[in-house]
Amino acid sequence: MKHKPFENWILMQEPLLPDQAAALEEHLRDCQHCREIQQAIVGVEALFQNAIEVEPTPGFSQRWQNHLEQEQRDVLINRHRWHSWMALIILGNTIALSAFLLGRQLLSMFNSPAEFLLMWVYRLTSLISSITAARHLLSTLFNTLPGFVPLSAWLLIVGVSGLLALVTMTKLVQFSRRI
Amino acid sequence: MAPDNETTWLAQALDGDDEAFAHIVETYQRPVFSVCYRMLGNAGDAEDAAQESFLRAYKNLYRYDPNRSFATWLLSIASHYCIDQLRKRRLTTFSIDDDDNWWQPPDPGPSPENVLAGTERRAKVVELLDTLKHQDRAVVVLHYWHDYSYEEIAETLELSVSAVKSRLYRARRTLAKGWQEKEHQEKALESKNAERVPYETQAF
Repeated sequence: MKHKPFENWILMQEPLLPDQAAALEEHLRDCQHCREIQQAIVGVEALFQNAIEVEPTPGFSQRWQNHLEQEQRDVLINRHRWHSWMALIILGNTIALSAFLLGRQLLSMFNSPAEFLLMWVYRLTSLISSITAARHLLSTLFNTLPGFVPLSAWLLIVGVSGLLALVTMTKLVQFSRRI
Repeated sequence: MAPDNETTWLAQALDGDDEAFAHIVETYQRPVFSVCYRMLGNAGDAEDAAQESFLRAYKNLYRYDPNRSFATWLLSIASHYCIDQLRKRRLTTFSIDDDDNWWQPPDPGPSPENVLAGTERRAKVVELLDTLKHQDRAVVVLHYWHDYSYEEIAETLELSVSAVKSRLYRARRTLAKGWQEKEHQEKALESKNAERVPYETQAF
């Protein structure tokens, strides 16, 4: 006896054509194997239908809010922890680099103090002369530039700069609120 | 629940209003918990999974497409989370003692027989569902407990409709086999008990 098509009809539970339904009914009368499958399916479905509706214990929503708050706290703590670690790493690297550079300077000072002193005097004078040159350059620019650029262009430059500063500040405030 | 309310709550929740999302939790706690319970088999794990599902939905709310049903989207998150949990633990164990603390009987004064019958039925459901593969189990849960159509199940579990049908077919065959084995075991136990009675009565 061929069970396969009848077994498929029982398990698929798709609507059958009248002649298919009649064939299945006739087959079920003779075939114990398929009858047992159908009875089992009916039993399983009855069990599922009569299964007690499960519900969470009262206060689920409140527990969820506590869960969310805890999660948000954890995220904040992790972020602070990460920032602290980053700051610590940057600080450590800065200290190590400074110590290395200072050590080299100290070493050269101990080896030849006169040469070390001379080098620093040279650096200092170079710095002073650079600052003086920059000052001269800037004052020349400030004296000549207003003659070339009209007043309306100056106003435009100041206006756009102010607007850009305002937009940047707003973005920063929004970003910090999101964090 | 009016869909207008849901739309408003979702819009407010997207703006960062936790209270609005709490309304969503209140509304959908039962179906989400039910899916998690049927998938995982015990109340403790179901509570954790339901909480986690809502948390994931909250975090990924910006990804929700308003043209889809919110319930389908939410149950999709819960189903996938439970399937992942089942994959992690592989073997699901169910303790009847576990759920004595959470189960709220519908009747304020159920008889001990009713409680026992309810517990046995629940254990039987869990045992049968345990015989299924994880995704087949999700298909069965959505079909039998949430009355989802093939199309809705396909959307929820990201499967094709034909895959849903074949999984349901395979699940029914496994469930029928499990049911038959259980019946045989029960009959064997009954006949064994029936044989023992005359021996015990002779002793007195």
